[in-house]
Amino acid sequence: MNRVFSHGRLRLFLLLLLAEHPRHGYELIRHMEDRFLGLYTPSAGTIYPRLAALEEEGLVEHEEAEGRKVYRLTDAGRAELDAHRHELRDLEARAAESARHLAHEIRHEVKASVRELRQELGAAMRDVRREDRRTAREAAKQRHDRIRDAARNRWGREDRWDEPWRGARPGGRGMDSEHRHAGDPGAADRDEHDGDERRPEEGGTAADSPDRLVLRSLGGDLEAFVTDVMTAARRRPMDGEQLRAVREALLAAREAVIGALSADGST
Amino acid sequence: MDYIVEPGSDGLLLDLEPLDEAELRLVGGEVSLAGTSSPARLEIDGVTGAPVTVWLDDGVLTVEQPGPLSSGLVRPRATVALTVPPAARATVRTESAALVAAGLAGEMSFSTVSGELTGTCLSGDVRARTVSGEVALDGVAGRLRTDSVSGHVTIVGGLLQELAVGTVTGEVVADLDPRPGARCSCRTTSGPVTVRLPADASVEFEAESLSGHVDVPEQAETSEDRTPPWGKAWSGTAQAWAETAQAWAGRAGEWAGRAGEWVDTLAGAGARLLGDAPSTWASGCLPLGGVGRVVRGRLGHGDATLRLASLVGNISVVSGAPVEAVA
Repeated sequence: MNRVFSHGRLRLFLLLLLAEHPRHGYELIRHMEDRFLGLYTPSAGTIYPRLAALEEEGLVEHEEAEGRKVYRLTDAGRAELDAHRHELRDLEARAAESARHLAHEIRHEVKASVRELRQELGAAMRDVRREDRRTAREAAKQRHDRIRDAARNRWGREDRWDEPWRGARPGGRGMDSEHRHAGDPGAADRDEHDGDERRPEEGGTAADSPDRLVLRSLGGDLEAFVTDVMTAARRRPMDGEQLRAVREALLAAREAVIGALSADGST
Repeated sequence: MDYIVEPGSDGLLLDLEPLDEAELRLVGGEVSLAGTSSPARLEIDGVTGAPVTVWLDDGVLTVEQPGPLSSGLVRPRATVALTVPPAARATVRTESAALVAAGLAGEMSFSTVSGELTGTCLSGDVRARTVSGEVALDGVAGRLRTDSVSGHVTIVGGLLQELAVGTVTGEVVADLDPRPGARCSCRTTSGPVTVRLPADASVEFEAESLSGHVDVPEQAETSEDRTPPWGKAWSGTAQAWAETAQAWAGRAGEWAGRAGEWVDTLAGAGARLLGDAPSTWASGCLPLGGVGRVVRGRLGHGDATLRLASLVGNISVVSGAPVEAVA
């Protein structure tokens, strides 16, 4: 509530209080609080610099008493006060009369802080919403890619037996791309290994062979895996190190799965 | 000891001592109420429409201006300024008069139909009710319970032990620093709820909305549920509203008309009121079908609890900036 005083008024009010009799800083604060019906308490950070400024202007002087600075008005200060008597009358009227005069000011100030808070939070909310929309757009795009890929698998490239697999990776940005971005030197190796695994299957190309159904169900599992991982990732922001750890875990999982598949294949 | 201030008179200036309790029942105009260490003082002027009666009886002050029914054509209005000891108990009821309250620390009850409620530096036990008036509080500590139908509720700097906010269409914006052990709740039908907590807040929260967005701070540990216990949550809300409705409906004349408006507002908010009696709501009917979202989570150690619920409004919890201390 520091707008109770317009500029320059606090200065005059301090001079007035010191004209009554010499006081120390804390006494001035208490006194002003009383004058303003407890509604305005100037802080020490407001009062002491003002007193120092007044002293510099030669309007007040101080002496040390019991470790405290007691301020008193100088003749120059008294003259200054007389010159502004009329302003003071207005100020005193405001201060001494009643809470009503401050009520308008309080209302004004509370309204201002309310407006400020609403603006701040409104801006914060807009940011959150924007982020939400972005995430939603991304999710929609992933869904779209997945559907498109699935459609391609089914209608466009029937001859590619492994498409359900690929389709399971949202927009091809699933583990495969993560894995490539990681720049893992073993990647090419494993891809080749994958190829090795697939080759023996290539003979059975009937569109609705049991193998294909197995692959489809595996694709579903993988899709669920990707969704779960992405959900978990979205919920928790990661730093670079965590991301690396997660990628390693994904590679390990991949290796384990492929390992299991090769074991099956070899028997 | 009693005084009567007639319309058009010079007004009244009265020093009151001692004063432990004040009750103001007014219609229009302005009311300012301040806690102060100087002697209690009452000022009344700008009286129109009907005389203002003042009683002082054993430390209890009553100021009353009768409602429009008894005043004829001119709308009753008065400007009342009262300073009281901070710990005094204060009750203010107005129809359209705006209220400014500052520096009080006792038990306070403010209610208005369309007047604004503005408060600053309040601590203790604050109760504020409004139909369409806005509630704006800057610096409030202790217990705060506030109900509104369409009026917005804004709390800046709430260092609270207990908070209960309920609105129908009114927006709730609160900058809170719940004390350890504090219980805070905000419930609305369609009004959005936005709560800001300090960065180091220690709060366990639950935010649920049937069809609105729910945003919570990223750093919070959260779990999400898609089948919330609606019955429980909403019957609680309904209970609070039903109480408010009964309180308002109990008022005669114009006030009862306003209660009708309140019911309209409820219906307009997309909720269906299944009967005339507000208690229909209390029976816990589910006004809308669908699956909602409830997010439970924790910030820090979770020393305080925060429950936010809105039927169709958005709920946002923001964490970050500090809450300013109450003077």
